[in-house]
Amino acid sequence: MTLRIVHLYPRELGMFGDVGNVIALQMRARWSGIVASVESVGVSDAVPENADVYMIGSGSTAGLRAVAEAMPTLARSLTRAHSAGATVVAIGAGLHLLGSRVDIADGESVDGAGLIDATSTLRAERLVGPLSGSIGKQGVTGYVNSGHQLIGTFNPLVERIEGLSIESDGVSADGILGTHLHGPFLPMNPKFADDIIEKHTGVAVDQDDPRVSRATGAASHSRVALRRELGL
Amino acid sequence: MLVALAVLLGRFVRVVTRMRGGGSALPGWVVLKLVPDFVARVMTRIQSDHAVPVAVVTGSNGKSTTTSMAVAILEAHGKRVFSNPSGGNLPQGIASAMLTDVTLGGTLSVDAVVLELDEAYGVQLADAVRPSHALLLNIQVDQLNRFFEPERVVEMVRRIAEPAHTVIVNDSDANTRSLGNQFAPTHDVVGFDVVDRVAPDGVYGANAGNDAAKDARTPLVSVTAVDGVNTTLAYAGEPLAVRLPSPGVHYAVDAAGALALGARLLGDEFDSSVAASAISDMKPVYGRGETVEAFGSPLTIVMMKNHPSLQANLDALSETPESLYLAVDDGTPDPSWIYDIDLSRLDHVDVVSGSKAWQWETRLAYAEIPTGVVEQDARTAFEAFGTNTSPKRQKHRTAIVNYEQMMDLRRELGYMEIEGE
Ligand SMILES: [Zn+2]
Repeated sequence: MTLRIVHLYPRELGMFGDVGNVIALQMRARWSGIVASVESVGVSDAVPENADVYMIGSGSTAGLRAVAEAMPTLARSLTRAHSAGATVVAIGAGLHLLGSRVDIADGESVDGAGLIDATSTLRAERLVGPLSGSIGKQGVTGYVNSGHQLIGTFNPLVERIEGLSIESDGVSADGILGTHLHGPFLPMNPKFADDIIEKHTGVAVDQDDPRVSRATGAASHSRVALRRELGL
Repeated sequence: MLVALAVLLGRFVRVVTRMRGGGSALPGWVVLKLVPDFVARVMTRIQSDHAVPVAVVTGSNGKSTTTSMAVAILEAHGKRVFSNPSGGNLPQGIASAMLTDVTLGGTLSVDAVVLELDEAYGVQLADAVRPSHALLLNIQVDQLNRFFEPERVVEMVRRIAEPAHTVIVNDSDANTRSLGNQFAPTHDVVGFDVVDRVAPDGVYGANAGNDAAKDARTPLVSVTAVDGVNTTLAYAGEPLAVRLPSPGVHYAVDAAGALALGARLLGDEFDSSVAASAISDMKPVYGRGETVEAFGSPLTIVMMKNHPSLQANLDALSETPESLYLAVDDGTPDPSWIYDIDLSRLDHVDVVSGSKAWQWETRLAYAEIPTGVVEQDARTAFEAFGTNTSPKRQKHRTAIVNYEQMMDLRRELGYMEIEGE
C-alpha cells in the first residue's frame, strides 16, 4: 500500500513549521506498514496530478509574491487532482491561495488557485496566539498567526473557538482541510491525519503500534497543556 | 536636577532589588518614569562633549555575543567603553546600565559606546542613541508572534541603521546584504561574511523576498575555517586565528562582525592581533554554550531562541549529547517551528521539561527520538535529570533550553548575576 504526498513550495511557504503536517502523515503511514513518499514541488516545477495528498503551507508577504507566478499551473493541476479525489491540506497563506484572490499589504494582490469560493483580505489587526476549538465532535488545538481573513461561501473547519477573538477558522470542503493551525495541526491532532491515510490507502493506522501510540499520547498531552495555557 | 534625582533613585532601587536577590531592568524603568528622555540626554551629552563613536548591534541572533566581542576588542586597545550587559537591549535595560557609570549631572566618561539593540525597540532607541556605526548581523525567522513577518524586521533594522554614517553588514545573509546594497550610495558600508564551504547550508536567513544577488563589496573580514571553537578569519586578506567562546559557525560569524566593527571604530589604532586575542580570551556569554556546575559535574547550557539559533547550535555539536536535558516554556509562545528543526544530531533526550514539554515530546515522537522522562515542572524535571544521568563517555551534561529556562536554571544553580540588568 502506498501514500503519495506532494509538498507544494516548501522553500517559499512553510514559515510556521508547516512541514509538520507532512511529517505526521508520512510517519503515521509508515508506522502502519504503508509506503509513504514525499515529493517537493518548486515554483517552476510541474505539479504531479496523481498524488493522494497535497500540502501547501503558510508564508509571509514575500512568500506570496514568490509563488504568484506558479498559480496558473497550480490551479490547473490541483483542480484536476482534487476532482480525482486527492486531499488538500492548506495552512495559512496556502489556504488563502486556494481562493480566487489574496490581497497583499501594499495594495497588490495575487490570484489564487480558485479551488474554493473565497477571497482573502487584510485584517485590521493581526490574529496571533493559541486556540482551542473543535472539528466536528473532535477537540483541536493549535497556534495562529495571521494577517488575513477569508471571505466567501464555505464551511469553516474549526468551530467553537476559545482563546482568540474569532468563532471559527479555516475551510472544510470535500477533500479540503484548510486552517491556520500551522505545522502542529496534524501532529497535535492526529485523528485527522489518520482519517486521510485511511481514506487513501484503505489501511487503518495501527493505534497499537508503540510509535503511533507514543505520538498520539504526546499529542493528547499537548492539547491538554495548550488548553491549560488558555486557562480552560 | 531631575536627572540627579532620577540617578539617585535608580541607584537606590538597584540596591534594594539586589538585596532581594534579584536584579532587573527595574532601576532603569524607574529612571525612565522620572526622566523619559534619560537615555537621549546622556547620549547627547557624550556626543557633544567630545566626538565619541556610538555603535549599535542589531539583528535576529548573536547580538549579545557580538556586542561582548566588540567591547572586548575596544578594551584590549585601552578604550573605556559603555555597553549594555547582554540581554539588556530594551530602553529600561540601557537606562539601568547607565546608572553604574553616569555622574549625577548625566555625564558618562567613555571613549566609545557599543549597544545591542532589540530590533523593535531599536527603532525608537536609535533616535535617542544617534548611532554613528550600525552592525547588522542577520534577519532570521524569529519571534513571529511579536514581529509577524521577517519583512517587518528588515524594515526595523533598516531604520536603526539609517542615522549611522557607517553600516557594517553580514554579506552571507541575503537580507542584511541587501540592506548594505541599499545603504551603499549614502553610507560607508563594510561587509563581513563566511565562505560557502564553511556554511554549506547557508546561514538560515529568513526569506523576506531579498534574492541572493551578489554585490561588488569585498568583505573586510571573512570566516574561512571553523573547527569547534577554533576558527580562521581573513582580515584584510591576512589569516587570523581566533578561539571562539563557544563552538559553531554562527559564533565565528559574530567574531567577524565584531572585528569589522572594531576595525572601523579604532581606525589606525586597530591591531588585528590584539583584537584576535581579546576574543580568544573571552568567556561564553550567559547560556551561550557556557559551562556551569550541576550535580557535581559540568553542565553545558545551550540556549535556543528560535529555529535558526537551535539549528546552528545543533550543527555545532561535536558529538551526540550523552546526558541531555531539554526545557522550553511559554517564553517560546508559538513552538510551531520545531517541525523545521533537523534533529539528527540527537539520539535520545533524557528529560523533556517546561510548559511546552509535551509539544516537544510530540515532535521527538515523530522524529523517532527516544525520551526518558517528560515532566512539565522544571524543578522536578531537573532533579530527575541529575538522578537519571551520570556523565561517562562525555565528561559533562548538556541542557538545551529557551531563554527563560536558561535564566531559571542559572538562578537555581546559584549563578546569581542576572542578565538584562
Ligand atoms: Zn491567514
